Amino acid sequence: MNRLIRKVTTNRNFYLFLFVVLIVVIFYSIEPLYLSSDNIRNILYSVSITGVLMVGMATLLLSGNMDLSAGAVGCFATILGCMMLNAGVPWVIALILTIGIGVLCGLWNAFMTYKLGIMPFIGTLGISYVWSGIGAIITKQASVTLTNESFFMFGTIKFGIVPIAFLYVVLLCIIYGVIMNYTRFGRRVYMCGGNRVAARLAGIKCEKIGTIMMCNCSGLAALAGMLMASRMHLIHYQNLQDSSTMGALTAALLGGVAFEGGNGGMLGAFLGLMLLNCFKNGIDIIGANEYVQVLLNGVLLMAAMAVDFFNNLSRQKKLKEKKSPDSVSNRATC
Amino acid sequence: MKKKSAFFSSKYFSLVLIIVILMAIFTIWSKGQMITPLNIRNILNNLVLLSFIGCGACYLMLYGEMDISAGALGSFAGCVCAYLAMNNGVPSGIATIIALIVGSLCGLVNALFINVLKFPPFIATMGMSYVLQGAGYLIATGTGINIRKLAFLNFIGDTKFFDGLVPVSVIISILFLVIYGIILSKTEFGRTIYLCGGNRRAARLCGLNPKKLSYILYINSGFLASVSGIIYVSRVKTALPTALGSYQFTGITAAVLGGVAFGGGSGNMVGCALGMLILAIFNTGVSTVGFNANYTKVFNGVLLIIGLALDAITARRNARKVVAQSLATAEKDRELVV
Repeated sequence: MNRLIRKVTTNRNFYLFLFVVLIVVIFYSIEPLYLSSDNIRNILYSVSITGVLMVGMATLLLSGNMDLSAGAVGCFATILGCMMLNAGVPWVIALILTIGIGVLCGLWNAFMTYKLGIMPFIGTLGISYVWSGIGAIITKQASVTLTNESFFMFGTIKFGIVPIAFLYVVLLCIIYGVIMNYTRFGRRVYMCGGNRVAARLAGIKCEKIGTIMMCNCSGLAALAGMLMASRMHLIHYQNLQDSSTMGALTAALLGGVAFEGGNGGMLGAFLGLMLLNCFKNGIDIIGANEYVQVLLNGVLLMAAMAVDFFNNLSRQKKLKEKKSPDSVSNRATC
Repeated sequence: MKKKSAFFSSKYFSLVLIIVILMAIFTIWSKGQMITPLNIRNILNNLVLLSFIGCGACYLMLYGEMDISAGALGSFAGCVCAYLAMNNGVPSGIATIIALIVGSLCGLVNALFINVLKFPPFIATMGMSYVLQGAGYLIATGTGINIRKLAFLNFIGDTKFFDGLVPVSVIISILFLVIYGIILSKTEFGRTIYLCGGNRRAARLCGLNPKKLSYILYINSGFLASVSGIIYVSRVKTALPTALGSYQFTGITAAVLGGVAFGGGSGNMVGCALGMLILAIFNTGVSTVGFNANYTKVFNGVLLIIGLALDAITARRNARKVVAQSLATAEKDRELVV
């Protein structure tokens, strides 16, 4: 029992969970409407769109890469997907094709990173302008309204106060958590993120893994876009842009996924996501200025980076502590 | 004669050639609209906003880092200036100086995040750009602050020389470009930037202080961005928190196209200025021909990627050359030993 308590109290995710509860309690005491069923549904809904993006982003970060075009790719693919739906393509096929378009965009990112040798963050940022610009051109800056009603059920079914979109996120987190923790592929992803040179020397093809993770991230972004479209019944070229990408990145970092890769897990990332969205929604519901939200995006990103910084410090300290008894014993044997 | 051939084989020649070709294409395409005096003034105006942010970007890229917050920072400084002058009755000259100081302080904050908390420069400045945009909205709201009747700002924005062809802001920007170019190529400080950008560790071991330099460069970038923000406000007469939007990328694109290496340590101001001219002509030309802003966005993204790809290819070729050279010298040494 003692051991169990120690195990729980030394776990970072436990504190993250406490933090989420704390935020909920604080906002509830300020504004009781915060825990009304409508608002809970709102929070869960906002979690689900950012969440699908976040799963892709977190796994990509774990492999030591970066993609800032995720939001733009998601929007671009969804615009094409909605056009397909309006043209009468069955929604399952349209969904698969949309995710396929996302994957192709991810392939281009990988091509830029590995074949052209462009640093991923600036390259993906450049391409995000291209995708969002093309999106604006093909929609003539108007929103595409969905007329294919069979698609609406994909994102709008609710079970009580839990929207189905939230269940998708939970499911994705579990699937990716299992893949990352219990399969050979997942361990390779961690290795590539942790130490690329060592991974290469161990015979792991990091370029291949990076390519897969980039395609995965863009594919999930397309899925997030489709979820959004099916809930709002339309897609606009300004949906899902930089701020959603940043939101996903912030959530993953808050949840303890290392920016440099190789450290962190899906449970933490999920808690980070809850933390981010509970906080943002709380700020909204206590009646802050709408412009505070823009400011908050930046502040939260900085806060998440600070969390990452202090995680790094404690990790290095732990490594030193682990090393030191060994070195003492080595010296003793010498 | 020798000098001439050196010019033809240098990369400036190709940049000038690109400029001439672009001018020719757009002139023919727009049926002569491109070279009317009004349009040339448009190009110059485009160039002015670009030149300040581009200068800052060029310096930082030579050092091996970049400032994504420049656009938002400039817009914020413009908002601060307009807010002080219009809503609080501060004389516009003093408001301008205060805005420049605020912009420089924002640059200092960037530098603190990067050097003290060790954030990756990219993410730190990106977060900062959201913060500044939000702060800009808080003081200027969504509709912006309208400025009229501000003596100093009107002087910067409206005065024109040579039959109204050359605005005073163009002269300021050329002055800045020349001064920054001279600092970079002729002074000890300029060489320090190259050294620290090329090999930071070696620079530190030589007794230079890259950290101090990084503070200076980020503050400088903030300062230049605020200058461009204030010039924008003085010309358009409205301070908006999104005024300069993604100008930082245009600046980075200009620097990369002009041959400034993305990883730092090589490139110069002449190339960078030519890169700016290319972009200014390109963007003005695209809108003259009749494409809307979305096309400009797409083309700029493509240009950035092309520039980065060319830069990466050059870097790889240089690396291969260095390896080949060191192999050759090693071979020679071995022969000597034998």
